[in-house]
Amino acid sequence: MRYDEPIMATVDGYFRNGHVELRETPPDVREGRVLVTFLTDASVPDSQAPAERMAREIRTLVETGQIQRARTLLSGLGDDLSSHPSILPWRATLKAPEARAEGTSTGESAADNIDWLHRHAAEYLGQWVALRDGKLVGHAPDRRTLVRSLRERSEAAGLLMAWCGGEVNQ
Amino acid sequence: MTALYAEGAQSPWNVGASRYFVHEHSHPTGVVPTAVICRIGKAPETELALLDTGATFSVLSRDVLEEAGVEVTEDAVVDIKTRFGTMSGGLCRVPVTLVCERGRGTDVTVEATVLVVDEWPGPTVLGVVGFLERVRFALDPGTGRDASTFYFGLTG
Repeated sequence: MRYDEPIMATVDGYFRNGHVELRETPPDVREGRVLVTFLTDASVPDSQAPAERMAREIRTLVETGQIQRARTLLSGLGDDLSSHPSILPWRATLKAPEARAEGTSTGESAADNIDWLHRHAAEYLGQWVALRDGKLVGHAPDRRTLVRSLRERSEAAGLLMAWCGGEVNQ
Repeated sequence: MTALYAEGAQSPWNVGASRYFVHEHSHPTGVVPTAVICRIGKAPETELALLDTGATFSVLSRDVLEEAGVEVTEDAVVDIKTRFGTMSGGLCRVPVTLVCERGRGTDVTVEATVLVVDEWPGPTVLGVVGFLERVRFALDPGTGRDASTFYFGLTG
């Protein structure tokens, strides 16, 4: 900062426990004299704004595939921010998933169903099929329609639903 | 049980196994996706989902979630680039189970993070963040059509 030129910049901050915490980085200033203006409560834009700004930053990181950076950012938040409603969904969904072995298997042999797909999937391109024991139970271009139809007939349990490739419904 | 063992290990590398399917037909991306058997929530039916190590997130359609009886409580809204273009959706925690064939071990359930899209046009995708990052797996194509084996287990 050059002292022969007056430079004024206003940045957001918060006064707490006798200290001012800056929420923004002043542009092109390494050191210098400051004046602190205390705002009344009514003029403070929003005490929750930092959480919302943080949520936006995390969203941007996630949307650009920078998941580890988003996780690091979340892990460094204080209690106030990390428990904010706009941050909670990110904490819940970006934390490492938990996996467990169930101790039992719920699948039947898949050999016949896989074999059916090898032999017949090309005949049902763009369709969903429902298979049991290597036999076609139903098919439809729309998965929801197929599942509802099968459930109405109480035939859904144990079925394997598969999309046969090809063009999709968009 | 169908088990793999690391050299010198006393316990098996995997806990479950199942056959998998390789789509040989045309696909918008031109790739040949590998599909494994899973169950979303407590749905009575199982489904073939694409095992996609190139996908950041798992993706499923909202109707699949509703059919599985999964209630989503926390939703982080995002716009994510997918093979079908940029899709808006919500990241949610959903139990997804890798289904083991009878006599080959045990199912593995992951409390997974998935991107739920209102109208996802393709099959469910199992991606890295929130799912595969906590599952060890190996694919053995075998030497015949019904010889493929998808081995899966817990990390660590």
